[in-house]
Amino acid sequence: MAHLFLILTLITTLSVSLCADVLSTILETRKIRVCIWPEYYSISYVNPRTQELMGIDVDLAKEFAKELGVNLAFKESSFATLIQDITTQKCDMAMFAIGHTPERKERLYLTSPHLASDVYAVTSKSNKRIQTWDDIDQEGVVVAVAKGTYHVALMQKSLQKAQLRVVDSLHAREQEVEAGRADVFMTDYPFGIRMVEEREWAKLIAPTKPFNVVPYGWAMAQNEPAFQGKVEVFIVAIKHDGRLLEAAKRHHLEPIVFPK
Amino acid sequence: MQTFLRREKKIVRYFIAGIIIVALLIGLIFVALSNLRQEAIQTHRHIANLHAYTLEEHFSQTLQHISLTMDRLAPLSHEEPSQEGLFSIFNELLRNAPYLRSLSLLDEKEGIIASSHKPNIGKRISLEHFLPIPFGETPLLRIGLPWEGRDFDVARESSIQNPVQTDAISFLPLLKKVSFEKRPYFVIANLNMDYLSNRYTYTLPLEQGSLTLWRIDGISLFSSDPNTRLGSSHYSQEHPQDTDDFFTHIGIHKQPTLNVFRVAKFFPFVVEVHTNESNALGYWDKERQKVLGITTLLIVFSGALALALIVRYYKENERQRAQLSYEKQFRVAMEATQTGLWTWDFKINRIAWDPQCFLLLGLEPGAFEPSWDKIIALTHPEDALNMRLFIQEQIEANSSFLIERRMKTVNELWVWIQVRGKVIEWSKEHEPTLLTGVYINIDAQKRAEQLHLSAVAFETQEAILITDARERVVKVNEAFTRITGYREHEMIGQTPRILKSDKHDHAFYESMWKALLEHGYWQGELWNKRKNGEIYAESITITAIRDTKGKTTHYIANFNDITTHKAAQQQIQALAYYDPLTHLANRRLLDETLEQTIRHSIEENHFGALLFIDLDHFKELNDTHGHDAGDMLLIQTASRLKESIRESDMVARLGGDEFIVLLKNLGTQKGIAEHLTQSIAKKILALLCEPYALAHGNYLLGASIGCTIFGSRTNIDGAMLIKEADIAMYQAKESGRGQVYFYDQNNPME
Repeated sequence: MAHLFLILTLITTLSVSLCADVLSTILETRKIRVCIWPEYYSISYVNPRTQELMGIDVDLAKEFAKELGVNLAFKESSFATLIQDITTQKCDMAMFAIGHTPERKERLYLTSPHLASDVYAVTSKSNKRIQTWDDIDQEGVVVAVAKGTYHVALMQKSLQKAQLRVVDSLHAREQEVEAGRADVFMTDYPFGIRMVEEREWAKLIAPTKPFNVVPYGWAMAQNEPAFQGKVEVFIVAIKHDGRLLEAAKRHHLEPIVFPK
Repeated sequence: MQTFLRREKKIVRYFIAGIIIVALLIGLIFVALSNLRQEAIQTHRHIANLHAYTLEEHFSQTLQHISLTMDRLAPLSHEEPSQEGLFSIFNELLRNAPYLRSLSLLDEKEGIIASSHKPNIGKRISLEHFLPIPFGETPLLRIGLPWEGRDFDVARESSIQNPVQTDAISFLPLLKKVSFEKRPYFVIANLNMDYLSNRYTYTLPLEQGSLTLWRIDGISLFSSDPNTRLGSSHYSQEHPQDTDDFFTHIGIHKQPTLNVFRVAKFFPFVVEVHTNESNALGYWDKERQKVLGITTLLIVFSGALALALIVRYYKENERQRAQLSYEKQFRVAMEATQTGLWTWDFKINRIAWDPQCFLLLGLEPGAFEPSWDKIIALTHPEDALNMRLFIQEQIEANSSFLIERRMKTVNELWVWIQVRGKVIEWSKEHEPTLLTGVYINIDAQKRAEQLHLSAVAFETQEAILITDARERVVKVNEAFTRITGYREHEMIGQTPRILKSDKHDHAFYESMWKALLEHGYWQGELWNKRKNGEIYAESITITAIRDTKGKTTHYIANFNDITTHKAAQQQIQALAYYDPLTHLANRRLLDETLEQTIRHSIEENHFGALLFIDLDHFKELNDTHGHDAGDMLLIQTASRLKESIRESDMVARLGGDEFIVLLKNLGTQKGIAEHLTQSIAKKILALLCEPYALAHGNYLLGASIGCTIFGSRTNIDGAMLIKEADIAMYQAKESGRGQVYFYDQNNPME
């Protein structure tokens, strides 16, 4: 019975996806479901005190929903569950600064980037051994990265002397540095500034020269040209009319607005 | 000079007082600031104490948490301790203790048998270095020595000689005994000291101070001060360990004021908070410097201001004193010169006198209200006359005036006052409205002037001789010496009688003295004798000087030498009294002499005779031989007449050929007088009848003589006598010329 129900549901969903595109559904239902990662500081972040969702992509999602004239519903997601959340149509699109990675490109449609962030390192203020970017790839230094992020591959490739320590979660890499098991962990600009602002001990190390700039866009299902077109038009519009820059300024992200 | 010194002293005293006040102020401010600094130190010490308290509390809680975490290990593991079984438990525990780097389980014999950090397995850890040494079997959290490195596999335990390198990664192992199925094991938790560093540095930034955790044996477990290396000892050669307990040790030894120590209650560590004094008090010190600087500046400025004020005050004082002394001088000068000030306000017609004005007149100041009428009343009547007019005239001409007047003093004496005035206010109509001026006592000056005048007057061309009442000379002048030849010193004490000539008889002097005593003066001419014996004539006035009681005190004689004048007078007299042709007395002299002779003859009862002589036929001579012959004959006649009489008798020519002969002193007997007269007349007649030698030859002519006798008759004058003689002469002519006839009183026309 349970199996039958599952199959039925699957068929229904498939038929919907086959028969009607996402945009029409959104307009029909007058509701857009947007996936966010509630821990992405400045992008889509739930303030622990107020439980208020804030960030550049939250603002832009509201803007987009307003433009479409539909209601907005945020769905909780994460980088680990992103592809799944999109393909299973948990949400119509993911708006939490999705880095353009080959894996995601293969499975999802990634919009034109509106942000672009390089890799940043976060270390402890008391760690006198790490002062600049060049201090990272040194003998005896332990670099922590979170499993599932593009940093794993990137650091595996780029680190020569330092030891790479891959930890289970994004939160764990932070603890590694705090406990002294690692000297630095790698992250991007929005997460980096969050650490500095929230953790007294944290210190942000920026690359001395562009290390690996990753463009950030939004993700949605492939083969949805109408919706994709609509989103792309919106992106062009917000870049053109300054809404993007305005939102970026609001969340201290103007250094990574793309293109500058 | 003395005043100056006194003033100097006073200024120095003020100056010293000023300096003392300034020093006191600065001292007070300094003390206040020092007190404030002490207070600031105390505040910072208090803050340090708070830090120490908080940090000790936090570290104790951290240790307590670690201790509890360690205790959880055994209950979570249900089996024989093994790496496989414990690894996930270790990781689970670590997640809740972000300050722990790793957890390991130590078997006393085999070393580390399980660890969150796998490479630690097999590592042997000496338990001796963990403090405190437990007293009993109760599990106890013990603190080891800091290790340099990430974990036991790649770390070394520090020692006092070889502490942890600065900047090196390090950890602090903590040990606690646990039991697994009643077998004792030890859990070692490696504490990440960086975690503490981050936390504590945030609480107490390095600029503000540093925090050090000392194990109870004086080994540094942690320090935010990079200079204190972990594992090093507090003790040194200069600072040796004197007690087992570190806290006791620091209690004994003097520490910087802002170093605060706090000993943990349950764990063997001590917290030291060292406040950076220069940071804590640097700003404060800077502020203090500023305040001191500004205050000092202000005080110095105020001092300078005060000094300037004092100097100004003194100058002002000096000026006032000078003014006072000037006023005093002025007053003294006014008094000394007996000068009074007055003003006369025409608008209210009020005259004001200063005290000196009253004093000038010997009056009490303010004795009366001065007014013009009062002034007039006090002024000498002669000076008061037209006084106002004079003043007005002068003012109109010069806007000022100067008059001199006598004013009556309180003693009823007149003093000379010079009044000077000047108009100092005018009305619009250019009428004087306010006058001011001075009264100056010029009495002495006036007297001096008069004396000078007297002296000058005394030394005039006129000789002056002053004697006392007893006629002794007291003073003579230069002119006296010039005229008489006697010098003053020769005269003083003498009487004027040494000048006497014998020209005047006793009667003369008597009449002079009489006049002098009666009228107070005598005026006349005197013949006196100079020192060289020469007789001279003088015109003299003698005045008797009398005192108020009328008693003569002095005599003053003023006289001029009139000798030359006298000679001229005699020449003039000759012209007036003598006939120029014959040099015989003329009718005028005859008349005067006759009067005198008549008076004398009457007074002295002498007889005299008057002979009237007329030449007979003299007219014929003039007609035939001219006037020259006549004149020559007359001259010879005169000569013959003079020869025929005595010296004391007199011959006069009446005019033409008429001559008079006056015979004096013919005795007291009339008969003898007549006889003598008869004989003289005959003699004259005889002489006249002798031939005259004229230019053309001898000439003869006769004369008729009429005679009259006088001396017994009182009611007779000269003219009558001449008339009588003329009558007698006429009778002689009548009787044929060449005759002598006597006038017969009983038959005058006979």
